[in-house]
Parts: sequence; structure tokens; C-alpha cells
Amino acid sequence: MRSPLRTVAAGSIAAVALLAAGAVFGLRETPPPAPAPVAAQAPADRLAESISRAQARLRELPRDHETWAALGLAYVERARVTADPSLYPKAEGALRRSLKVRAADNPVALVGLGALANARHEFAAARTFATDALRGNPYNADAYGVLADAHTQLGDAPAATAAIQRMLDLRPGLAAYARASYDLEQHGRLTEATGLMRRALDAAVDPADVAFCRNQLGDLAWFAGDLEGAATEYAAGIAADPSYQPLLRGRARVAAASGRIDAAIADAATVATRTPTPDTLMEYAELLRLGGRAPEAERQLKLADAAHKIFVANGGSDDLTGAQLALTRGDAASAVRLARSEWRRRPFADVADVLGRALHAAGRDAEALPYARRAAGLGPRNASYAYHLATVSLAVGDDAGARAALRRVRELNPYFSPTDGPTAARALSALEAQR
Amino acid sequence: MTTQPHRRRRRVVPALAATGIVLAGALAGLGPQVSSASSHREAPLIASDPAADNTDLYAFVSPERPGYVNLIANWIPFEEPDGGPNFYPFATDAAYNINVDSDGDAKADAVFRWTFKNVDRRGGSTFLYNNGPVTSLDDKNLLFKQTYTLSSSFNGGPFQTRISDAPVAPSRIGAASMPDYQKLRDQATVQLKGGWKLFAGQADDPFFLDLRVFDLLYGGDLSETGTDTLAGYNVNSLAIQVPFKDVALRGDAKRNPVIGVWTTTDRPKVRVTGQTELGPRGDRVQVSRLGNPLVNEVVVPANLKDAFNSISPDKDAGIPAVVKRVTDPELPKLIESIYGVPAPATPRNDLVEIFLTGITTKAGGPIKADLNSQLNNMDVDAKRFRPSEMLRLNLNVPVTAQPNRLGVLAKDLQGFPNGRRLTDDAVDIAVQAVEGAAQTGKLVDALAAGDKVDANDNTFGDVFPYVALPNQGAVNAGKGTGTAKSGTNASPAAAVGDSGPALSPVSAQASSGTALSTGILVAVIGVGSLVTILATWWLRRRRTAPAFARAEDTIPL
Amino acid sequence: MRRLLLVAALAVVGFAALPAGPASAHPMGNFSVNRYAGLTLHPDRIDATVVADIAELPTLQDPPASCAEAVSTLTVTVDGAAVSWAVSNSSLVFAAGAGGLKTSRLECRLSAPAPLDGPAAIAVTNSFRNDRIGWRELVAAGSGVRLDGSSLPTTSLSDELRHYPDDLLTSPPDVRSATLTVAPASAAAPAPSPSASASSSSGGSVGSGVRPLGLTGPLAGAERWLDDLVGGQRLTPLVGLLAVLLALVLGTAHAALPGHGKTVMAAYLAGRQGRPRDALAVGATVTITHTGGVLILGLLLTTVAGVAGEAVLGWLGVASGILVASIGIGTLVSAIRRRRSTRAAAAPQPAPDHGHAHGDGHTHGHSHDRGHGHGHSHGHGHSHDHGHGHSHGPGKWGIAGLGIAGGLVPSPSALIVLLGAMALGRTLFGVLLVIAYGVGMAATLTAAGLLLIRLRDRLEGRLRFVARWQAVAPSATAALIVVVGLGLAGRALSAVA
Repeated sequence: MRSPLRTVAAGSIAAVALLAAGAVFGLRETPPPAPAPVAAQAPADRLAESISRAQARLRELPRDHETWAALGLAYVERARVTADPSLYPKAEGALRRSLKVRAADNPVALVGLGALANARHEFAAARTFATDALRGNPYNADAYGVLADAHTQLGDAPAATAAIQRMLDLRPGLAAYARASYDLEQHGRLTEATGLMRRALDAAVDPADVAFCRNQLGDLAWFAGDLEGAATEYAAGIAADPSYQPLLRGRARVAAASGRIDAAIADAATVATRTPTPDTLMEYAELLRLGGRAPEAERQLKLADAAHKIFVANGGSDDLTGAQLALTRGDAASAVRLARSEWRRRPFADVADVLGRALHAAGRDAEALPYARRAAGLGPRNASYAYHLATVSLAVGDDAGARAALRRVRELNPYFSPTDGPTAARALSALEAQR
Repeated sequence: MTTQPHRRRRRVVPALAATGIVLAGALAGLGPQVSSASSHREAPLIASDPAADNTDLYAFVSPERPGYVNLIANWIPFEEPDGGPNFYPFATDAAYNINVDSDGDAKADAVFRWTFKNVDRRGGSTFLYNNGPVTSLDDKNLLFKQTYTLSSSFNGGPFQTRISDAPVAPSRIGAASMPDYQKLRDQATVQLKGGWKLFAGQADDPFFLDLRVFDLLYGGDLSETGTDTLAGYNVNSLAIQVPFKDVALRGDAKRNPVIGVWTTTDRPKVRVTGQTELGPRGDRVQVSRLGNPLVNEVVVPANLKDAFNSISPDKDAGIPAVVKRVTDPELPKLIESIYGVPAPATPRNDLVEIFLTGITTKAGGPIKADLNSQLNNMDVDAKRFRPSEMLRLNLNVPVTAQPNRLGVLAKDLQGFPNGRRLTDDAVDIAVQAVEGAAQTGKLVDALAAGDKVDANDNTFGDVFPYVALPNQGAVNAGKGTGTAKSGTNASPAAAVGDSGPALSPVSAQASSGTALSTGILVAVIGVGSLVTILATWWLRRRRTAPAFARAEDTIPL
Repeated sequence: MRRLLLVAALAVVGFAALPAGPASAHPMGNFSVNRYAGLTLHPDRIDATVVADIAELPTLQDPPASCAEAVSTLTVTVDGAAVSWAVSNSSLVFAAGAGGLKTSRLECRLSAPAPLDGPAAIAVTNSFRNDRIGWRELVAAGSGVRLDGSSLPTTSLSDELRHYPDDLLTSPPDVRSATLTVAPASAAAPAPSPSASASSSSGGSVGSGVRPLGLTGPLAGAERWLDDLVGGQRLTPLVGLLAVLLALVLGTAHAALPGHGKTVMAAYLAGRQGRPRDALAVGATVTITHTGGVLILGLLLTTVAGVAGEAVLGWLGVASGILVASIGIGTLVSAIRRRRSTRAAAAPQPAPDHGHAHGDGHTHGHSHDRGHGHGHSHGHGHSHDHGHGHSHGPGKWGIAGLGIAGGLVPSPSALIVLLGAMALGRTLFGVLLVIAYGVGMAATLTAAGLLLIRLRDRLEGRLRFVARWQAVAPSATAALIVVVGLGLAGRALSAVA
């Protein structure tokens, strides 16, 4: 019958209108902006300033797609600096909003999405975003940066180098120098890499950027076996920005290599508390084991497993870490499976190394050898790869190869691992005694 | 009667199911929140690069020193007067240049280059800028300062150092630490043999405008203007005063009075591939460039800014996208759609004259005046002339006793776009020019008020370096003035209110277009619904009874 | 049936196809520890609510949080002397999080004696697990003391860490410490005082410091806009019309909020004693009363200095509550009386028939009314009364009383707008806005009333229990009205006291 329907319709319209009025006006709460902190304690942080400036501007002018995109990029950058993943959804929201305001002809938003994809380890997606951005604006140096990062992690070294060169030709500065330094380091040219990273340090302004450069310089010194140089760089970086976690990891490494296990454990504990990701937890566990605290080490490994499980539950995929975790647990079969699937996705040096170790742990040394060789070839200045090659070579009976690899370990960085370093030294002396 | 509840039930379950799907979709749509498996290989992407932050360029003939021309270039906008502890040094790995083209081929004929060094006595253990009052640039209490080397090259010749380790005026950190900043400013103003005067250091930002004017490009409108967005902020300034003969073609300013000026910053080129020797090389890569003010806002769209920053002027004419933006600019169309002021007909060859060739009769442009194009230099070979974006100044135009902020548009030929003086209101002139005022010779009345900011918050000086002393005190807490040296009869400061560092109006008066339209929409819907309901009720009461008789209502008495 | 199956199948497929729940991830990140500390400052003590919302990994990594830990990390000093906390309530709850792990939520209520009867300087620092990233929020409110120079908000942004706002344009707060001063509250100047701010300000800043009660979000922004409009330079006719529309909408929304006697009116009309006409009458009365109230109060505040606006509003609230209660009492009395008389008159008839006949009479009256139009309403009521011994309603005065009660307490926002307009000489414009505001309120109340009447009419005779309820309904609703009226009065009284 019509009349009840009409009645219901009229009634529901009334109800909806009233509720809508109430919902729109009364119930939804946009909280007022948080009060500004009373005093700025840290040194002037241009990134934080630019974020708050962009936020204020967008409140007044929500159709400014350029500022939305810039804000998204800034959030991604801040997430990297603070290691706070809760900024990723904000970044994505801001970048998508920029695209909503202007869908076409918006390369900056695409660059932002590419940077975000890189941060989430979605390297193929990042590559696509960067390429699209470059189509819209072939002079955009940031797009080349994103592209270079994606190519590097996907294992396409020549493409990465080309992208970095373009970036250097467009806008030489901290971002370009840092990537160029890493590129040279990957090709084994450590001296030039160090020189470029010093240039990057000269160009750095924000404390977090200074800390980043110092950390890289410390790592470069570490790879060359220069403990004191590394210690100096890490200390300078911590003076510039005490909250930058990678510096503490570096300091822990140096302390472990110098035999100060307790100091190393303390630093590793701080890092593991602040950023409990699988790699920091595994490092902490290793140091604990070295310090003779095995039960605590077990606990940290369990935590590392939990952290990885959460990462996967959140939609991420990182089989490399999964494989490393499996190796620490002694689960060689899973390690091989995970490392292989990651290798199929991206033939990168780290992946080759882990796959080799996994196959070695599973007893399949003949299969392990080519991967170990590949890793050592891709990273000729990496003592850790050389060590793993040596272990595999020994297992297949290639004493000469093992000896050569162990000699390289000694040349490059005998302190490369607090657990494996002494083992490598002993093995080398044993092999040389055999001769 | 039984059918009704059944029908209702049948309707309810699908509705519930649909709601369930919608809810599930909404939950799923929250998206993955991936925890960061942070690798130490994640390098910064958008690191701040103050060297690349070119803000303004000024070029004008000295009013008090005849025969000399002043070139002033600024970097790093929005310098907070309390921006400690690192403040705002010049970059030490970049070179800052002011280029002059006197023969119109869009290549530099004179280049002045500044490079900087840090003198840091803090040793990495402290971040304090000073540990006591600083009374002179050599004061031991000043823990961080910079020095510069100026070199110059003429007609493509090698660079020659004119002065090295010259002092840079430090960031002004407050009355307690720097009780007499004027003294520090004087120490940083040097005169060379040959009459050159130089200054490098912090200064009040001489640019005055309401940046909200350009919100037009993002959906704003000209309703909120009148606040000098840059009031209270400082910049880093490089100033040079040279005799005409050092910049004019063939040294003869009488025959060749027009020069084109632009400023750039560059860094050494670095190779990581394709060469045997990798690393920095001798050639330079340009990281930023500036000539006329507001080119980025008025002419060059976002996608071309990167291109524009990296190419030299001689390549401008070869980028069709840039030329197209000059001949067919976006701003007049926006103004027409919002304010109804008709946009002048394209192609805008008058803008081509102003921005790319200089105002002259010799290039076939619509503005029939010979003002500031290199084509008007007598010794110029017209065939080698290339249009390019740069600030062009005619050195022979006499100094006006009473400068008019609207420059050429108000018949004050010494003003912008013929060079640029500190007091010229670049925004109003640019907006009028982009609406065709230069071509018609008449100001567009509807836009006559412009951005309602007509003068700088601080008064300029009347001797080199002219820019006012840096402000002190945080911007929002009330500005300290930095009036420049000596009494002046320039127009008094028109301090127009407070502005925050954000490019936004004071929030109490906020009303963006979207809030208004939403409000109206909801108002209409709400009121309409209520009216409908009431009307329905009222009409129902007038219907005849039988239409509404329900089976269950008629109960036998 | 097939359709139902199809929809259900789609639903199942839809659910199954969804990826594993990202929604369970902690909104602030899996390794965050989020902290909140809310202080309430009384003249003799400080109460604190400390909440810690700990994400999956810290829950697993660290020992479980406890109030002892919270107490040791919350430092509050009064004039430099630290207060010592006593835990009055504590709870630690685990909830499921991502990846099969748990998150935990610690809530502690603390209290510490503190002599705040005179001016004092307070410093608060919360360093709960400072080595972890996460939300850091501090809140301070005074109850019986006034807070000066407090940069802290008085209410939580996140509802004590229950809902994290995901506004793209704010960064999570990182407030670790704050200082503020307290002073004893004086009767004359509590914080939101419309009269003080309105009469002392001028120009476009009317109401910029005042937040009228209960309205947040876009509505507050709309109010500010209205205030600025009243004080603004440009008042073109279009802008004026928009302002009137906006005032209408604000009135509508204001009445949609809890209060304004909607409960009372609902109970009243649903109790089979009200007709659509009554709803309209109530609406009209509300408009008149509200507009009149605002105008009178506005005049009072501008002409008589020293009147504290908030106190007046409070007393008006009391008056409104008392009025409602008295109407309720009157209705209750008359309902009980009639029930007794009806029962006596219709004793032989069983109760359900009684209700049934009642309904019949009512609809008979309806159609009768429709046939003959408006003018017969009195006759209708008369005949109804005679036939069944029921009054058809509370009578004119009851309706009027309802309307008056609903409109008695002037809305602060309307008051501010009027005062601002008067301060600028735009009195007529202000009055127009207030009238529009009142019309909006009336519209909402009328619509609510009509809706309820219709709902009642639909329900009657359809569900069995309704019939029985309808028998007692008049007294029940009257009792409800009394209760609500007393509640209103009591609340207003407590606010004034």
C-alpha cells in the first residue's frame, strides 16, 4: 500500500535529516590542533618546520595540491628519521589527497608515493611511480632518487647508476651525493665513496642529515677495518643528533669489535627498545649470546619472530628477514624456501648471501657455492660475504678458495662480526698452518 | 496483513548483508600499515638545501653615487630571527653567482662569484654560536663565522680573485649578544680598489608582499590580503656595487646602456659512471636560477620549475613549454574566472617583451617604447640576440627623485621592470602587467589595490648596501625593527600586522570556499527536509478520510 | 528467497575475499607506547588519570605495565615540591592485536593531596617509558580552581587514548612536560562568560574566545563565521541572507543536541495526549520564548553592568526545570484522577477493550476532524471527552508551558551574536538572526514531535504490549516529565552553585 510507504518514507527522511544535522554538526569531532610545545629543545629542525608550515597552510587552503604532495613527502622523510611507521598512513593520505585535487599532471605526488613505496619495500611499485613522475617532469631530481633506490634494491645496478648520474646532473646536493656514494661503495670504490659522503656532510643542514652522513662515514670506515675512524664518526654523529638510532648500532659494533661487550649490549638494547625490528633484535640477540646471556638472547629472537609476524600481518613482505630469522632458529628448510622466493623477486647481493648460507645450513653446499660466489662478486669489499664464501668453500673441500676468501676477510675488515671474526682468523691460521 | 511483516523480513536480511559487506569493505579499506624494516641504506630524499633557495634579485643605479650600479641578490627565505643554534650560514660547497649579459646573446659576459668558508671554533663539542657579547667580527666570543672569496670573470676569461677571506656579517642573535649590530654590518661592508663595494651577510628581507595573492592558483581568492607575509623575517644577502664600465658592453655605458642580470648557484659536477676518473670535476651544475621576480609564480608552472632552475638563459628560447607559458599565462584566466576582469588576448607578446626580450621597438613587440633591451645597445649584433628570462636594466635612465612603487606603470621609468629597486612593488606591477597594463598604458582598476602591501616593514638605507638590518625577536612575538642606517626620506614603514611563518591568514577569519559551500549545501538540505516534513503533515491533514482508512482502524463499535 | 540467498552468498564471498585484517594493527604503530596523563586540580588535591596504550611489541618485550611504574614516572610539583600519589584505581587490560600478539592498556587513577587554595605554580612531567616512540599527551583542567597560563588543553584529543584522530594535518602530540599556575576560582569570572567577552570586545573578534557549550567541529567554525560576519565590514544582502540561513541551521542543530525539553515533549506527545497541532504549538511557543528570552537577556546584559551571564543562564535553567516539573506534576495529577474516574466508569469492560475502544474513538475523531477541518477541534475534543472520559491533552496551558520551558534557556551562541551585533549598531540584523535561530529550533522540535506522534500512531494497535502500556501511559509519561524536570533543575542548580 502506498500510504504506509509514504509514511515510512516521510518518517525516515525526517529522521535522516535530523540525524544528519546532528551527525554533521554535533557528533563528529575534529579536535583542535595540539598546542605548540612550550620550548624547542632540539636544534632547529627544518623538516619539522616545513611540516608544521604545510599543515597550517593546508588548513586554510585545502586545494593546494603542491603542498599536499610536499607534506606527504615530508612525512615519509620524517618516518625515516624517527623510524616511526605510524607516519606512513598519514603520508599516504596526504599524497592521495594531492592526487584527488589534481589527478593528472601531478608528478610530485607520484614521487611521494614512490618514496613511500620504497620505504615499505615495495620496490617494483616505486619504480613504476618514479617512471610515471618522470614522464610528467623529466627534470625532477627527486624522481631520479626514488628510481635509483628502487633499481638498487631490485638488483638492477646499471639502471641505478644511470639514474644516480641523472640526479647528479640535475641537482647535486646531499640526496644525490649520498646515493652516489652508496653506488660507488657497491662497486667497491670505497675511497671515492668516502669522498662523496664527505661532500654530502658539507651540504647537510638538519641535524638528522648530519647524523645520517656521519653514520655512513662511520660505516665506510668500518668496512675498511678502521675502528678508530668509525668510532670518531659515530661519536660526531651522536653529538649532532643523539636520537638517530643507526649511530648507536654502529657504536655497538665498534664496542663489540674492541671487546667491550657490555657497552655494545647496552647500545644494542637501546636500539632494540626504540625500533624493535627483526634486524635490530637479531643483532641484540647475537651480542647477548656473545656476552653469555643465552636465555635473554632466545627471548630477543622470539621477539624478532613476533616483529616479523606483525610486519607480514600488516601486509608487508620481506622474505629476506624471514630467511635470516629461520637461520638463527636453525630451520634451514624454511630459510631456503624464503630466500629463494626473495631471490626470484630481486637478485640483490644480500639475498644471494643469505640464500647461500641457507643452502649451506641445509647441507646442500654444492648448490650454495654459486650463490656465495655471486654475493662476493656483487660485493667485493664486503668481509661478511667473503667469510660466508669461505665457509661454503671449506665445506665443498676447496681449501685454496677458502684460504683466498679468508685472506680477503682479513684485508677488508677482520672485525666484521663479533662472533664470526675470531672464527675467521682461527680458520685462516689453521689453513695456513696446513700448507 | 501477514504479508507485510514477511515482506519486511525479506527486505531486512539483504539489507543486513549489504551493510555487512559495506562494513567489511570499509575495514579493509583502512589499508596496510607496514612497519618499517628500516635499512640503513635509506638516504634522505628532500634534504633542505639553502644554497638552492634563491629569493630575489635587485638591480638599480646608485642614487647617491653616480656612475655606479648596485646588484643585490638574496637567499633563504623565512629566516626566523631566533633560528638558533646553527642559524643560516651560506653553503660552503656551492658557488653563488651574479651574472651580467650585456650583448644580448643570453650568455654571461661578466660573472661575480662568491664562495664561502666556515671559521668554526666550536670544535664539535658545543653548538653555541657565541659565548658572550659580540662587539666586533673579530671578537673571541663569536664562535662561528664565515668568510668569503669574491672572484670575477669578464668576457669568458678566467676567474680572478678580487678579495679573499672577507668577513660575512653574522646572523643577528639578539640585543644581549650583539648590542651594536650596525658596527658588525659596517665591518662587513668592504670597499675594494677600483671602487667596488661589497657586502655579504644577513639582512632584513626587503621583499614585501602578501603571498596569499598567489593562492588564486590553488582555489583561493584575493579576499584576504594586506598582510606582509615576509614581515619580520631575514634573508642572506649578497650585494655588490660596481662602476658602469665594468658591466656595460665594451665598457661604454653611453652607447650600450642596457644590461641583463640573473643570479645562480652551482656546485661541481660529479661523475659516477662513464669516465675513468670518477668524482667531482671542473664543470659546474646549476642548482638554482633567478632573474625577474615572481617568474615562478606568474609564469613558470610547477612542472617546469625544475627545468628552469637547471638551465642557463641561453637555453630558455629552446624550451617551448616555457615560452608557451609566457605567451599564454594562467594567472589572467584565473583572475577572469573569479573577478570577471577580461584576460587580454593571447599570444601575450607584451609579456614576451617584459620577461624575455626587454621593452624595445626593435623586436616587433606591442609595447612601443625603447627602454631596456640589449637590442638597444648600439654595439649589439641583432642577429646574435636571443630571448631569455633575465632582469634588464638601462643604466642611462636618470634616477627619480621621488620613486613610485609602481615603477614603469606609473611612468617612473627607473622602476621595475626596468631593473628593480628595493621599493618597487613587484607583486602589484606583475599582476597589472600580466593583465596587460603595460601594453595599454592604463592600470586595471579592479586590481588597483593589488595585495595591499605597498612597502617594506623596515625602511631602507640610502647608502650601500641599502638593505635594512636584520630583524631580531621571534616573528610572532612582535618584531624588533631593523631600520637601516641614516635618515631617509623613503616612504615610512607600513607595518601591516602580524603574520605567522605559515603562509596563511589569521585563523579567526578563516573561511575557505569549501566550508562555505558545504555550509550552504547542508543548510539548504536541512531546511528543505524540515519544510518537506511539515508540509507533508499539513497536507495530509487535508486529505479525504477514505483514502487513509486502514483495515485495522475500522473496528466495529 | 533466491534473492536472499544470492545476497547472502555475495556477502560470504565478500568476507572471505578480504585480506587478513590490517585493521587490527595498532593505529600508532606496532612499537609505540602511547601515554596520556590528565590532571584535575581541586583546591585540596590533584586527581590524575594516567593511561598507557602499549602496542604489540612493547607489550611482548617489556614487563607488564603497572601503576607503580606510572606513579614513578609522573612527576607533578606544586611550587617546587613534588606531590606523592596514592593509587585509587588501576586496571591492565590485554586486547588482541596484529600478528596474533596482544596490546595492553593501563589505566590508573591517582590522587595526591595538594594545597591549591591559593595561587601556586604547577609543573608536570610524564616520562613513562621515554625511550619508546608514541603519542604523548598531557591535559589539565581545574575544578574549583582557575588555571592561568596553561598551554595544555582541558580535554583529551584522543578520548584518553581510545580513538586516535587521524587528521592528516596534525602531528601526534609530543608533550612531555608543562607548567601552569593556578588561582582560586572567583565567582565573578569563570572562563566561558559570554557577557564579559562580548561587551569588552568589538569588531570582528566577538566570540572568538568563547566556545559555546557542546558544539564542536564544523559547527563551532560556522558559529565563528557567523560572529565574524556580524562584525565584518562587508554586509551585502547576499551575505546577510546567508547569515540568516546559517542562523536557521545553527538553531536546528542546536535543538538537535540533547536538551531543550525534547525528552519531555516526546514523552508528552507519545502518551496519547498530544496531537500534531500540539507539536506545532510547542514549536511556535519555543520560538517566541527563546527569541524573547535572548532579547531580554541581551538588553539586560548591555544595560546593567555587573550581571554575570553564566549565573543568569544557570538560574534560567533552574526555572525551566521547575516549570517542566510542575507541568509534569499537574499532568500526573490529572491523569491519575481521570484514570480513577475512567476505571470507575468503565469497570465492567476488560482493560484491552478499553484501550481498543479508546483507539477507535481517537481515529474516529481524526477522520471527523479531517472531514470538517480545523475549526472542529474543540468539538472533537469535547465529544471525545464526553464519550470516554479522557482528555485529549494537557490543554492550552500545558502546551504553552512545554514551549516556554523549551525556550526558556537562551542559547549562548544566539546571545553572543545578538550582543555582537548590538555592539556594532547592527541591532536589527542581530534580532533577525536571533529570530531565525529560534525558528530553526522550533522546526527541529516540531519535526521531532510530529515524528513521534506518527510513530505512536503507527504503533498503536499493532503490538499487544502497547495497548497495555497505553493504559498506564498518561501517568507514566507524566511521571517521566516530572523526573526530567527535576533533573534539569537539579543540573542547572549544581552548575550555578
